[in-house]
Amino acid sequence: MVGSEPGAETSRSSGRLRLWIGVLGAPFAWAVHLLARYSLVPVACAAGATYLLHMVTLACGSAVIAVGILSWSSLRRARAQQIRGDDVEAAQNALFMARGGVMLSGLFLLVILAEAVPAFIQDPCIGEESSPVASWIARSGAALLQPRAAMAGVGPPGDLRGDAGWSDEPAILGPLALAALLYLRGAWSSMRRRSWQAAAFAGGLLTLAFALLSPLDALAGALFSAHMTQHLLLMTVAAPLLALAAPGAALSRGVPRGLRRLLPVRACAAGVRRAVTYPLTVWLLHALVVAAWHLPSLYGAALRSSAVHAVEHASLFGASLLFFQVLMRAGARGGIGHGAAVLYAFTASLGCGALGGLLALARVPLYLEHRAGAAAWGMGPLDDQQLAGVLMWVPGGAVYSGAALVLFTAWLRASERAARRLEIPPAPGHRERSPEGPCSE
Amino acid sequence: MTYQDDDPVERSLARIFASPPGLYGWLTNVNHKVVGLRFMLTSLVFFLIGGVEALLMRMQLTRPSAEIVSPERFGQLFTMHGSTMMFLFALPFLEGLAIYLVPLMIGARDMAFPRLNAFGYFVYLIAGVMLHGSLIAGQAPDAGWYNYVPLAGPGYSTGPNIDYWVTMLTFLEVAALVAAVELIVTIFKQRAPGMSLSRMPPFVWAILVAAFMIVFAMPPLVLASLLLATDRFAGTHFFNVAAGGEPLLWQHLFWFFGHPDVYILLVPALGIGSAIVPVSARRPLVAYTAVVVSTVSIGVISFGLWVHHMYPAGLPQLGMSFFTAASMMITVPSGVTIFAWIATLWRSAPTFDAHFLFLLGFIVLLILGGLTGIMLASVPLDWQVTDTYFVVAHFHYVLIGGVVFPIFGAIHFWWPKMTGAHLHERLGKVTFWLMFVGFNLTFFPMHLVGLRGMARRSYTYLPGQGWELDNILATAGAFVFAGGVFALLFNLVASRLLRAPATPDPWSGGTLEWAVGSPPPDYNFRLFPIVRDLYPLWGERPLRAMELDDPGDVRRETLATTVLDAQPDHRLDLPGPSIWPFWLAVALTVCFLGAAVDLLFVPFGALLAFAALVGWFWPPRDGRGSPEPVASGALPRSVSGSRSTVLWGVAILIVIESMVILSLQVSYFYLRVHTPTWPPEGLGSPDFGASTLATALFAASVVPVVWAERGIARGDQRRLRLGLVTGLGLVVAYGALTLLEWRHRDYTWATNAYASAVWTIGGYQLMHVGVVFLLGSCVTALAFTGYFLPTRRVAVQATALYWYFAAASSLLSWGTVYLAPRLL
Repeated sequence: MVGSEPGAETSRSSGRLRLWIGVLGAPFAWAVHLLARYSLVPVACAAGATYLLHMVTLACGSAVIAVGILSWSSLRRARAQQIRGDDVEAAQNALFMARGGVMLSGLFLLVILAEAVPAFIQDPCIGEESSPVASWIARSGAALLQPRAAMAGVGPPGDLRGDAGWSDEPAILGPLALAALLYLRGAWSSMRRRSWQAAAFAGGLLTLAFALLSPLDALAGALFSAHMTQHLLLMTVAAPLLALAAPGAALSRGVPRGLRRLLPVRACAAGVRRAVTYPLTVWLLHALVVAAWHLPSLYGAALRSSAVHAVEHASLFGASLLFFQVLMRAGARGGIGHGAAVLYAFTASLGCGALGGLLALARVPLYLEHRAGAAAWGMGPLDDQQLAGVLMWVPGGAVYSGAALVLFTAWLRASERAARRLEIPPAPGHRERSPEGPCSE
Repeated sequence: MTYQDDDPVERSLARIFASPPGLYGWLTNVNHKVVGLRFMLTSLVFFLIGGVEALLMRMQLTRPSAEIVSPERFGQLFTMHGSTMMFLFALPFLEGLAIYLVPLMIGARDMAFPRLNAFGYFVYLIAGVMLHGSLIAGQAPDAGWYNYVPLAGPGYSTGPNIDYWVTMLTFLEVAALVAAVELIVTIFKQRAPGMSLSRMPPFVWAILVAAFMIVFAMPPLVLASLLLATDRFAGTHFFNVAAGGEPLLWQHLFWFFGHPDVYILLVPALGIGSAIVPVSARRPLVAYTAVVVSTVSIGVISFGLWVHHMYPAGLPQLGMSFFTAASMMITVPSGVTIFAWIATLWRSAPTFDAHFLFLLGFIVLLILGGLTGIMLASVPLDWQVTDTYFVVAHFHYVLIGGVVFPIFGAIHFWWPKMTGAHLHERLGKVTFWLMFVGFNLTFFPMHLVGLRGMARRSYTYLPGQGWELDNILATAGAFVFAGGVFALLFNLVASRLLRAPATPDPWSGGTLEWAVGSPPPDYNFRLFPIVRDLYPLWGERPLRAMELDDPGDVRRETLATTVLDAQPDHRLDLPGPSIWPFWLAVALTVCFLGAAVDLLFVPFGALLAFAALVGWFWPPRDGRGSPEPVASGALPRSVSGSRSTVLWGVAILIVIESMVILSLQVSYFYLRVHTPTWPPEGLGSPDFGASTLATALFAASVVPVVWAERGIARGDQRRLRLGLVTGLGLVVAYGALTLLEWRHRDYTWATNAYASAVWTIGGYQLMHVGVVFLLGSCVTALAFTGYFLPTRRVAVQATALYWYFAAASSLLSWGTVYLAPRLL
């Protein structure tokens, strides 16, 4: 590894990526297949379009075949590397992973096909309408996909159906567009080099737009579970993506030069900023904000007043943006250590579990504002609340757990780098000496 | 590791680290190897007892309608068997193995807090002896190893049986938590120079992950056992439906621990595997990073799965599909580890030693147990076979296959290192085959008989249901298995008598424990090896090493290094033998066992414990009057802040306590979301004004403490004294105001579940205040003697840290009890 050229380093890391995609791709495609088919059944049945299910199989099956081909090509490459004889250990690893990739792809292709066959024999739509949750998924799915005019027959009537279509609220659209514009202007020149950051920024903005402007926003007024989905999109999708994009520099470069001097950012006391971004403060703030907005009285206030509602969304999004920024800066100068960051993310996932678990297991409906909405959608108030709780508990917690694991991997790498840099510490004032034969017998 | 025979430093080390002789010496010994071996041997004794309990049950079930044991005895037997194996054998054995091996593997002379180690062992020993005393007295616990309420509550278990169980459990929690703190600090702060995190042996990683899992999973169980204890001893109603309590709360708290617990056992077992595989294959472990990351993933994911033990308890249906998906996730990291082993062994020529056979048995049986686990993770099948022998078969495959086999492999692998004597190799193989065949003969038929409907935990069954043959096979297999265990015992004893001497590195291992003699000297390492990769002994020879000791002034100390990259940081003073850990364990016994008799024993025991702690921490007489000036360039002897191991220990203790407190708050809210009106009818809202004032006072007490702490950093004694005294004054005011508020409450903790929760949160909070007051008073007293200096202020920092935590937790408790009901 040491002393290899940068080009070789890049091609090796892309080769590793290829190998890992080969090993993990097929199981991942299978998992997507299983979940997508299960969750699509209500939508497909409601729309009378069972071909959707077969399309999922087709897509995932082709993905697995593609992964298999990729592994096959890695296999040939690894064989060539082994014959050339450079770095035998790495070549053997690559051989093992590539073989595994080919075999796993074959196995999971079979599993996917096995899962797809029953739908040809038995009608997947039998008994679908019986479950209120399934009908919720069906209707809300249809509401999200279809334009307002086509919604006439689906869902409950009146203002509870949340079928307002896409909104063009200027107070949200404006800032989003402005941010996009500034970023484009500021990062245009370095866009190619930092394409993944740009992609993360775009993904973050699009998620924000989807959460706040799509019919989901209106649906969130009717259903607690939809509102939870909206908050999860803000906190666990948009916020980490935007933190990952680290757009601060690009945004400020995007501000025209004349205006930049007027920006109060630098003048604005750095002390305040430090206090707000101090890691422990951020952790506490994050926990407090999330917990507080789930107190029924505060939650109800947000539903009743659109101003409070805006504060709710801004504080949830802001706290989690700060939180993920702390995680992003782990190991950097002035940031927390990786180990502490792992602990932060892990405890946040425990928090999701505690709060989500309480909501999912509660036997008393806590949010009376949603009672009418849930009823209009054919759900009991507890169904709605349980769905929301489970969403927070499992998918919400999974994001934080995943962040913990990513940070942990970064920790291991940082540790090896640090040890290499400081190879063999001649401790000040201590002579080194070799024992004669550590195992002298 | 022998150097020169006439090395004076080595002779001084041997003298300074020597184990004290005699019975009194036995009680005061704190060496990690001695404590580790005690843990392992004691837990093996309990393994035998638990095994005899299992054999008795098997004999009873061999034929239908047998009457070898009475139904009551049978209930006691399965409870004791489960509790013994889970709490008294598996966990303590792995703790002991870790305590023994971790310092050797990372190149340290002892662990960070040796006295805490000894304390943990005494607590464990007392708990185990007490529990089995109850069996002899015929009053053993009989509500199953997970002790579900209401059966285990005061209404249905009126005898003292469950009291023993609760006390034992609390003790074992203490022992496990103590070991976890100890292991985490040791692993982070005492690795050999150059052993960065990325060069730590996978076994040490596994132990670190398991220790963190204990830190996060054990506190909810601590809380559960405390709540059950107050329900039983003090008449609270946490689990009593009639008074607004919730029996399911017990299940949630128990399984929040119980599920990770399976992995707390499995993860070290995987670590054992990752230690044995490279040695047997004679090549480095493939995909080290992936193995380490999957070890951590197992730890993380296991916290999201507990609900799958409760499918039949009536949970939201939609949630179950999520938990099924999450349960299946855990197969991925376990699979990665096993695949990495297979890849390591691929095309190597392993020698089929006994320990390697056990490892192969481990892989096979764990996979079989994992497959039935996947079946059970799906809700419909789980509903069908819950509480049948199918489940019994599943978890025995996981626990015997996944824990007992690797433990036996570890015994065969490390026994020569620990005792200096080889085990008989062929007898070891016989042991393996007896156990493997016996195990499958016992538990495979249980799958079938379970699917045919035989319920677990019933003391007998009627003939003619097609269960006879399977049960006969199972009993026969159990005796074959017992024969294997007996063969191991014989082997262990014989090795002590025959003494086939072992070299330091009999298997050609690559990690540091093989660099020292077999058995290792009391001080482990004369020099501190410098590490450059995962297998220092497989690299260039001779091993490079660092000298720590000053030939003119050899002390009982070891090297502390930095967390990330293990650079030498300071000399860590190791406390010597002490009797106080033993007395503290005795004081705790008075406290807890006394509670079952009369609640007055609790304060009495607490007082004894305080006295023992004072003795424990009393500064040694010989020297250290003032810390010596640090020669420029030499490693310092006293450090402060995050470099100090003491502060690390306190920080982890605070994490543990936070988890207990958070579990308590979540339990409060759990009760709340099951009750339509809150506070329940007839009870007034708690006094908001007085509590707000009191909490504000406590929060304010932080300010003078920060001021004092900063003062002593600059050597300002006056600021230290003034700040501490002001802080103490505010804490006393808080306590007084709280007590005043309590006087005006018109209900007791026995009124209903709400009242129980409010009183318990308050009582727990007041206990923290008491601890802060005692700690603060001791530190203040020391401050007035002028003991603290800018270079000697860790005690102030540790007390301050705990103080901040107590203040934060008082804010939280106030928010839960006084503020939230106004907003909820």
